[in-house]
Amino acid sequence: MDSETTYSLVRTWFGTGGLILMMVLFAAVLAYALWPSNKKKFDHMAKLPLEDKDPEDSGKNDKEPGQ
Amino acid sequence: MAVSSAPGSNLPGTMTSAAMAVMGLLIAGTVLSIIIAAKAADAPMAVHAWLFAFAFMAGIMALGQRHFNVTQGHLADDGTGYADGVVKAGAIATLFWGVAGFLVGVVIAFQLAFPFLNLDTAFTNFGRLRPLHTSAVIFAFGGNALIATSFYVVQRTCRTRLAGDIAPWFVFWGYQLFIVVAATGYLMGVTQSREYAEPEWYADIWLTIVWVTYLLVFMATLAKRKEPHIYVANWFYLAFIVTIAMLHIGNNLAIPETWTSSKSYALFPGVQDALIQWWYGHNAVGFFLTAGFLGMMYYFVPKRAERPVYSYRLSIVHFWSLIFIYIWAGPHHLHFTALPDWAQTLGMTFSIMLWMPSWGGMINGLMTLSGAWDKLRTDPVIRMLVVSVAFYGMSTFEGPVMSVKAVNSLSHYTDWTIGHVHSGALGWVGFVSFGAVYCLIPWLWKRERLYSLALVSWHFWIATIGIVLYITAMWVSGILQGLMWRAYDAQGFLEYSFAETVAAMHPFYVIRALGGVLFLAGALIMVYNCWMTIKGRVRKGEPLPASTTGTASAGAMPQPAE
Repeated sequence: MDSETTYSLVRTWFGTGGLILMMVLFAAVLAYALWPSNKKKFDHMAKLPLEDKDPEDSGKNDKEPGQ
Repeated sequence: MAVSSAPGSNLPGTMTSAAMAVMGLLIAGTVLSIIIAAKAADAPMAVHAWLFAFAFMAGIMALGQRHFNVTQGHLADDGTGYADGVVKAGAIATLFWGVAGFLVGVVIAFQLAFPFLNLDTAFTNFGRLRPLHTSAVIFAFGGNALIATSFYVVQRTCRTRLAGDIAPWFVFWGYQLFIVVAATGYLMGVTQSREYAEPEWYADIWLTIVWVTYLLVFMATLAKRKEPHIYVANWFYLAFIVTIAMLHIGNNLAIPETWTSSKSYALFPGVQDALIQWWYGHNAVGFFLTAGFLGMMYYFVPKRAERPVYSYRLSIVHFWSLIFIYIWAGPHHLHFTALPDWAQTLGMTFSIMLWMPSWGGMINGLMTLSGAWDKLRTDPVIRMLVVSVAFYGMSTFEGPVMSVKAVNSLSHYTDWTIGHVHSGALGWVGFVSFGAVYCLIPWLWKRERLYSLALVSWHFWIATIGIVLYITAMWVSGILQGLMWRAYDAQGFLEYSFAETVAAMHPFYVIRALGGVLFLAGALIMVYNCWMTIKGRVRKGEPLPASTTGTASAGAMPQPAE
């Protein structure tokens, strides 16, 4: 097989393969993000930055701002 | 809440066997550096070998001093809370390198407007100062901001102390050493001429060691997290660290002339080399200047606004689509070159697809403020963070437009590109880092709030006007330049000589330099404000109780009297 043919073969297969792989991965990400049973976890994670308190502050500075 | 390291573990600074190993490596490094200094093939290599030798010796002494401190009970950090010393150091380094990098930027902007400022010496000419500016702002300012905030955020969102005792400090100081080696190298003319990757082979090897340590510290901290899920900011930080490691190694594959020479030759030839360069170059933008700073956004915007992330689901889709698409966009830097046409089209297509995750992320950041929009009026720090996200949206809209071949044929090699880079760098990266540091300084030093919120407002407005001057000047100048280059007369000859297009740029170069002066002035105000905050001062016109109730913010923590 000459290099021209190898090149076009590799290019076609990688192009098609890449397309399929990316679509499948994107579908998987969407499914994971939208899966109903994950909702509780994600709702908790969305609030995570607001809940972290510095342990060394406890007692003197553990009030979250605005509370 | 206990955030302690494993029970029975040694105090920070104790000479464990790991510390002894680090000490041994530092001694070996010193000896190797001195040998290279003695056998150096050129003067810059000798200078840098001595620099490494002294840095390694300083490391040995610092380790020893830590050990004596812990044996004499002088250590403030008992190893049970969060490791914030290295974050404090990172916040200060961010401010220092920010001012240095902006200053060099102002100098080279004036050099372009008034060429006599090159001073006719090799050391200070534009060609050497330009990488000094880009590296100082991207890697020194941005890099320190990323390292400091990632160390802060990963501890808080994993509720665990940073992994390692010496390792985080090694990452910090090792990274500063890399910056100094890179910067002094540029001034001496040491460069491998790869954009955003100018440092030569030995500096690259050093950065690889530092960066892999950074990755290990970050992953080890994630591994011992007390939260079941890894918070989205950490995903972005991790993608940034992993991808930069991969890009840095791939792009810097080179063979040194000899092991005592500061010169190396790239492993790949011709167009392959160009593609590798821009695979690296664009992903330095995508993963260093975007993914890392999005990590910052996903922590500091909700934290400061006291609102949950608008949509955590969107943040997951945002993350995975951004990292899968960004990595392919590099070829748009090589339109109309020897790169195969299909590869150029691929780069362009992926750049356009990037609109989706970029704007998804921007919407997620902005909408996090829903229910707290009033804070835009009362808290200048949140204003800075929000405007940074707006600039992110603007420059990620502009970028895909410029990657379209038809637009690129006008915009490429002109000042439009420079303007685009700076709307992202000054507006997005700069402002989100400023916002994060304004949050961090009072939190880290346990101050009730910043020295002055009015000064933050001044910084915000001065810097914003500076950015607007900069990018509007570069739009006009870039499009003018592009149109002049492609103007033909009736006979089909080029209408303008190159020198005429350069002369036409002059007024815009002056405006751009003035914009830079304003941005630098804002940063100096910030340094003063942060310095006074660290010293524990509060500005007279803004007494604490009034401002803690009036402009309540995360920096203004209500504290019972101690």
